[in-house]
Amino acid sequence: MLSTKTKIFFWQFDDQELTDPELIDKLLLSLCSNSGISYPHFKLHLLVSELISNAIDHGVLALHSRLKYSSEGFEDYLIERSRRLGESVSGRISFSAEWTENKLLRICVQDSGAGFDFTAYSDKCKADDVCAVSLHGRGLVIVNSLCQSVTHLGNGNTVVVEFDPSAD
Amino acid sequence: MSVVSEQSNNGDEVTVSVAGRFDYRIYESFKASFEDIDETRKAVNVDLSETEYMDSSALGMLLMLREHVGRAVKICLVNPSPDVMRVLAIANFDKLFSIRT
Repeated sequence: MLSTKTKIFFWQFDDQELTDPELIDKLLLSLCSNSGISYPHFKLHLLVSELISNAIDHGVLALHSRLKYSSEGFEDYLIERSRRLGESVSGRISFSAEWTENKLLRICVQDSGAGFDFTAYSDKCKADDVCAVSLHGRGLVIVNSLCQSVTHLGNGNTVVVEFDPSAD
Repeated sequence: MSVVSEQSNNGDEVTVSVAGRFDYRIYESFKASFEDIDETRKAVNVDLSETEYMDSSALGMLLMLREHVGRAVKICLVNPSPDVMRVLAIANFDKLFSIRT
């Protein structure tokens, strides 16, 4: 979790705010404005989008990743996601950011969902060379590749990443 | 953002161009662009030269395309920007699809 002293940004989304299709754009604009990072920023956009999508899909909507990460199930996942976002959504996501001493942007995303078994995910991923194209989460593979560190906390419903916005 | 589909003069190839952001918000137009493509075509080119952004939902949609047209139809991803190429490479899609720059 981030300390309140160094936090540069904190945003919390509740219920119907989570269904706003412009949510990630608004979050990015505000984050860039508060942190001094130039906008648009492809990698930051990608990182924030994957983190928020994961929190919404698996945390708030409790969609199963088996749907999302098989080519046969991906369409079902998009339809189900759209259907559930069209209904009354109940949940919360908090997003906070701070600069570390070595100029990395540390982002913490927490959702109100039941979490997931992140130890099983990372063990499986390490054992599987084609993890990125199999069923174990392309979103998390992208997050891992963009960040200096990725740490799952609690029951898996909190993720803390460190990201270098100045890296190529 | 927009998705445009065009076929070659002899009908062998279809080119699907994605301009702007390639993410779940263009799902319906992307799907519509390839629904009529069947195994009688030789190739599908996905023109990414005007694609400014891509995330994991776009990767899922490319797999949907792969599934729809079948293995006999060659899919080529054309002219991805360095940022878009990085996303494709992270997910090992450079091994699943041919990429032409």
